[in-house]
Amino acid sequence: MNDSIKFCCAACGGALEPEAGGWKCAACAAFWPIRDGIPFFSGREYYFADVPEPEMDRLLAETAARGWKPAAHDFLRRANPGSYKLAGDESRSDWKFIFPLTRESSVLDLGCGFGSIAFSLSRRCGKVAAMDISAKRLKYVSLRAAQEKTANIFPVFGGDAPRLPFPDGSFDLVVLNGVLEWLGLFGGDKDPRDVQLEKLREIHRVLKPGGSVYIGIENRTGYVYFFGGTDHGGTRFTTLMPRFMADLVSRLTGRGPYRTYTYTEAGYRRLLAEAGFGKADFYATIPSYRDVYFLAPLGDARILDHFFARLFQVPSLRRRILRAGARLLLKLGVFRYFVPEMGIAVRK
Amino acid sequence: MMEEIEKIILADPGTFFPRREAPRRLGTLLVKGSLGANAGRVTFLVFRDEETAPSLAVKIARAPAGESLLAAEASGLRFLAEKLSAGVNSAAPKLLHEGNCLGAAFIAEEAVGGIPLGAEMAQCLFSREKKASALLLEASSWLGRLARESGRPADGEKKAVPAAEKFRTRYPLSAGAARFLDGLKADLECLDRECRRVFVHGDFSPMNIYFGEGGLRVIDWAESFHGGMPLHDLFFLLTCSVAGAGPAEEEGTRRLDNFSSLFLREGARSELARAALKRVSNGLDLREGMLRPLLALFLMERANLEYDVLERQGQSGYMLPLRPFGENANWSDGSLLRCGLYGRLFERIAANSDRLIF
Repeated sequence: MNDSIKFCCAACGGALEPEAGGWKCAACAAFWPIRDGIPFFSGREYYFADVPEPEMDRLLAETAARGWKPAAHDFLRRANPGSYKLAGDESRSDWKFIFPLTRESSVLDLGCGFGSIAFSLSRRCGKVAAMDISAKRLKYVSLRAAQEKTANIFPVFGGDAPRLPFPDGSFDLVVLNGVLEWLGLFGGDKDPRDVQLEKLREIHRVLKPGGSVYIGIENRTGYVYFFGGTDHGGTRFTTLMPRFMADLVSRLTGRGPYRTYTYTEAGYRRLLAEAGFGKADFYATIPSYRDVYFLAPLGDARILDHFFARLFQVPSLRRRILRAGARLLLKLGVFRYFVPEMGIAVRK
Repeated sequence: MMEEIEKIILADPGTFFPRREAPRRLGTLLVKGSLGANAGRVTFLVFRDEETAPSLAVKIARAPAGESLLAAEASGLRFLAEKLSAGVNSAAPKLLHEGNCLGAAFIAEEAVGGIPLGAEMAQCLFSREKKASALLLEASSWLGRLARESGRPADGEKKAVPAAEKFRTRYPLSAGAARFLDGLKADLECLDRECRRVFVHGDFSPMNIYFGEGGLRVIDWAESFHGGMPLHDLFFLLTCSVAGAGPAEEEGTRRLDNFSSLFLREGARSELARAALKRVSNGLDLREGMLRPLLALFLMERANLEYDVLERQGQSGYMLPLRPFGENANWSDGSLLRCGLYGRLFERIAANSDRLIF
């Protein structure tokens, strides 16, 4: 058991007491096991990843047998180049420099995946809780941390239940990179927006006063959706439809209920305000929130125009059209409605 | 962290905005460094009030390794400002501040305006080649002035021979390339003994060269160093002058072809390479016979650096070998570390040594 991250009961918020193989809640008697050094705050197992599960199993076996670097470079790089970048490129979280992080800071990376953001944050912060609902990905994080002797990363299983297993005011920063839109899948029959709101309120609770949240996510009316881009539900144009219609289309096309809600900037502002958050800054994440090369304030047209006029490379006709379109939208003052993805920095 | 740095800037605007009124507010644009040699820092472009172009570039060390890059950049900019003429140093941004914020080193320097040469070159597919060539020659002229002003006689330090030895141990050369390298032994020793040393930018790529109202400007001096061989920056510029102009999968192949078009006698751009070489070497007292070993040395030094960068990336968990060279190589046996561009370019000049432009 580590005592660097403080936990509480994921069912009732009560204090935890150590018991053989885990922790027991003093208030409700719920038992939370520790497996391979990872505390489990959920009884349900999921597997979500860009890497198919057999590949993940092979990656874990290779990582355990040969070390995480040879496994990443010699297996994952070939098997799944996109995930190789997501798993290993720590610089994709360079947005961290907008936050006042120090060696005293505590961070929660909610939905940490392979952990590259968590590892990147661990270089600058005191401790990082890397939370996910995939035991296999947490196993990978745990193996890597042990192999590279990173002592300030703490893998935690859970996040699907409404309550987070941390006491009030635990963190200076909570990261939700590519996570908020998926939360509706864990809410049973509840309205997906209510599930998201509930989780954001929980995040507000575990933040220290003045703490921040970083959210990387799609824009519901991103221009790509007007050209037939599919959203997380796997269908075209559904993000642009009213929710009831999106749900109907999703069901009729055999994909089940539509629960992966994204919003416009105004929608995110409303959601965050309802959850109790204060000032929110919105950024265009270019080319994507998964791998930010440029982070430009969405409300500052002159900065965005400088980016497109001076820094955006135009070696192809497609890019020239994109650039011209973006600059036109900026001139018209409507660029923010069509930006495909965004980063949101919001304070408690 | 940027908010804290903005407070530092706003508290002392005279340092950051010389001869201007204090700003009322600042806006920032984060520009991430590439994964190559610049992996150690992040740049924020800072916009003042309602200005449409940035006034400042604030560079923050991503990790301790990045602090040495920032120190090298600051040292290089100070050298240019203090030791070289206005005709040369006006191309470099002014260093305005070196500091530390929340435990991370940062520097602030003047933001450079204009359009990068790379953007001009990237548009070559629509007949911009003539303009891009003219700008490339202008950059070559400036490199010549930099080399002449910063040049000093050889001081006995051996650079060429050790670089060749390191290269040979790292790269399994073909028999022809090994013979070519053996044949250069006396020339490389001669470079160590006789060739003047110059101040080198070290990352003179088309994306770091800007043209605007103030003429040519050169950014990103984090790889700069004293005591380099002449023509290093020009060879670097020429070898990457079409980078980014096509799909990433083709970049390695395009750069190999580009190299042939410049450095082989019958190459489509060989006249451009000759003209650029003339502009840089003019006044440097370089004998014709030195050009070939200088090119070979440049390629070996870059290959060694590329190997180091790939190794550093490999240790960090993510490496980006130039496609398509690394498709079937392994990191474990070291073959992935040899999947860069410059070893291949060396093989190419070795295979075409009787067709080079010099």
